[in-house]
Amino acid sequence: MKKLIMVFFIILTVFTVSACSTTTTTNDSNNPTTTSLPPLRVGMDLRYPPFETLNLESDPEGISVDIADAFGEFLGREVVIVNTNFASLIPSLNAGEIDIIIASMSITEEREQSVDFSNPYFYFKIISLVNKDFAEANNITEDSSYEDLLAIEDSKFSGIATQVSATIPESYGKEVIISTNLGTAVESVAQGTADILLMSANPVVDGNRANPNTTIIVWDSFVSSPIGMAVKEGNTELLNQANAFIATFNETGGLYEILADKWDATIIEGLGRYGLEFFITQ
Amino acid sequence: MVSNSLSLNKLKTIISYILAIMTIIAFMVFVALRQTDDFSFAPFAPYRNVILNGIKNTILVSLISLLGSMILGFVLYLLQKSKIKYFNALIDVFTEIIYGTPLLVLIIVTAFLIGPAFNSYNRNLFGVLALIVYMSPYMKNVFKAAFSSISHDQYLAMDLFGFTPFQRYFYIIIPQVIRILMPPLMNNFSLIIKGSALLNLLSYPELFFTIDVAQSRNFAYVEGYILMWGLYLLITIPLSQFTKYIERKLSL
Repeated sequence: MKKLIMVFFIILTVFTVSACSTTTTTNDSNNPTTTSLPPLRVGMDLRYPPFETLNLESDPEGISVDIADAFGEFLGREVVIVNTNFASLIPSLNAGEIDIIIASMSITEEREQSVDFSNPYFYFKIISLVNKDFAEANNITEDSSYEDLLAIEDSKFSGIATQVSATIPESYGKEVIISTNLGTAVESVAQGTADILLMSANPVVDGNRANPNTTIIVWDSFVSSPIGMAVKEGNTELLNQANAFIATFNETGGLYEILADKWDATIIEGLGRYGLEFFITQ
Repeated sequence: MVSNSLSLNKLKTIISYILAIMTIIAFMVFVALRQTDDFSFAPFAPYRNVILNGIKNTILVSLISLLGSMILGFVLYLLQKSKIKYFNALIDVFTEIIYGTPLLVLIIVTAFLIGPAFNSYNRNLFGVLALIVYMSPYMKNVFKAAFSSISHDQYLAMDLFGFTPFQRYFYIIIPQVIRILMPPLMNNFSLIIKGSALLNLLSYPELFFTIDVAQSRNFAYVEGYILMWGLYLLITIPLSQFTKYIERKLSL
């Protein structure tokens, strides 16, 4: 009797599990094309507008999403966007869950050791969000240079785990207070638990807008961080295809023009100063 | 006179509760206003549907995890009671490991290492599985406590009166077991609801994640976290009140 109950429950467990699996695999809703090639699975973290974000219908949207779709068209493959936490992108790629990362990922030496990067297609100027009290105490203004910022001793940087906001200050031997998401990283600068956050322009400007009385922006760019697509180490076929695709961006009517047409207004509204060319020039 | 002092007592209780709730709200308002000058939930209005969907998903995964962990917990309970020593040892080792593992670690390991090892990239499924596995030893304990409450004497008595199996379960065992089962079960359920917030690391669109996405667009971080706090309480507090109600109803 007891054995019977056990067998019954084991069967029930299996059914529950298989029921879960059918309810959770609904994210590849892209219309199927007639190609026999498997869909291209593109990983990105959809929490970084305007490059990677979710619209109000919870569909992926943004510049990186458009690039991914264009790449799919270039290859004649269907595209599936796999929304993945930024820190989990490289593990996902290496586990074979995704084929390529198109996530505004900076090309760095450390990452180069575990993935293969394409040629850069954007340059993200890394600028600083600085705590206002800290800035006033150290005579830092919007037009200070990044050398001025680096020259300050005992400065505490706010950084997001695995991102350039953490790796750049670490490379200068600065103290970094690690956050797990953008929100807490920005808040710690606004509240003064950290002094400086190095990020690409959009989050810095948005963070400043949300905390106008406690933060300032220092526009001088720390580095111009090259952005590339990443494939699994040794996947030269896809890497060559990605590089061939990126080579077409600059052509007349190429992707840069298409993206500028579509996104310039959004980017200018976001940054207050520049359009897409801010990310194309070094 | 007696009923008069009773209703006065009741009034006092109600007033004390209102004061207590207002104290907490005052504290929350203080915390919020210390961070930002113009506190407003308005930036979240466009995300109403997204967040509602997040609440739905939180409740959905919590219910699946509750059911799953109850079933797995019951299997563990049977294996622990089994006469085969290997099963007993297995459950002991398993319980020890789960007790010592942070849920966060279990979710990441399950979704990014164990899943791919079996050629499955269904991250949401493995995230929910991690929650189920994490809760199962706790569920096992709930069953253990409940069933041990039926003493050997009661079985003897049931034999003596010649109860049919249906009568035994329906009139004697289940009423007693449910009374003991319900409160810890509901406690575990609210543990599951709170634990499901960690599924945001897998980008599963539950409550935490949907507010995180909204925050990444409107940068209203302070308001977002307060909203998140309130919404989780909105799910868990009615649940614990319901448990208390059941407890009162079933108490002997």
